[in-house]
Amino acid sequence: MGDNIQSVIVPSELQKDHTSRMTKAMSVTAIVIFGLSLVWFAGMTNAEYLHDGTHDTRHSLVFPCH
Amino acid sequence: MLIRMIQTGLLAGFITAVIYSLIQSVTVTPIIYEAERYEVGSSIDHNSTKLATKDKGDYLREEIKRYSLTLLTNIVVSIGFAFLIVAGFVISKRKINPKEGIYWGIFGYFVFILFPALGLPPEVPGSVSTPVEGRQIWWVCTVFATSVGMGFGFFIKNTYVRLICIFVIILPHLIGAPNISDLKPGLVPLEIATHYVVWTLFTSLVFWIILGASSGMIYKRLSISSDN
Repeated sequence: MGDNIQSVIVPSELQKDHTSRMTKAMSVTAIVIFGLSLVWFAGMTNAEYLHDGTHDTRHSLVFPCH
Repeated sequence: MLIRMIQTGLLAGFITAVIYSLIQSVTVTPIIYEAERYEVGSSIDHNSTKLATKDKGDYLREEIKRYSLTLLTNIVVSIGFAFLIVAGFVISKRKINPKEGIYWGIFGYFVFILFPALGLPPEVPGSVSTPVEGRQIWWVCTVFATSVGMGFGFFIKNTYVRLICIFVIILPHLIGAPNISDLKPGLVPLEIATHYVVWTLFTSLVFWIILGASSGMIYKRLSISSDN
């Protein structure tokens, strides 16, 4: 009887654990993409109209600039 | 979880950017302005607007615009870096608090400031250099190598892995950043340029420590409130 209960609980717990790990991996991937995009946009874009606004930050935080 | 990570990044990034902008405006920005006086006549001229606008009102408007845009850029960059710190929090599975956040901030300083600066030192406006695209490629490769090397080297406790990590960290420096030794000296006096390098490296360290500490503090608070 006890074995039966365990065989029901264990797979569902594993499923839950697997789902939460997937959610975590996707969340981390998403936040890294957001972060890198923002840093790239502000620190690495060389377009003239953006460069004028980002110039002082780029020089201060040691991004390569002109 | 994603919501908590975004909230932490937005809040820590914003707070850090505001504090950093104040520090920057009295430390680094005055040296940038000083250097730009020597930049007049060079190929890139940030002073043209300033010289063209003789009227005091116009000048003031230009200054406000410049400081506002810098604040805005600082906010964008800070939030971006804060997102990366929070990703580190989650991957590491360590207990997060302001002190732990400072460790991650110092990690960010090594990855994004110190190691790239060994090949490409902070450049005051008006200094000469190789085309920006080549330097950006080297910068990105160095950031990647340093983060991978330091990250794996710290968390994987194996001597062979750590030796490989040290090699990965120094590899971009063995290859070398785009060479500037063939170029003619710039127009900015050496005294201003060296002063600028020291202040930049110092204020960047302050920036990363504040960013790490505030990220750690906010993440901890939000974790406690979501657990209750």
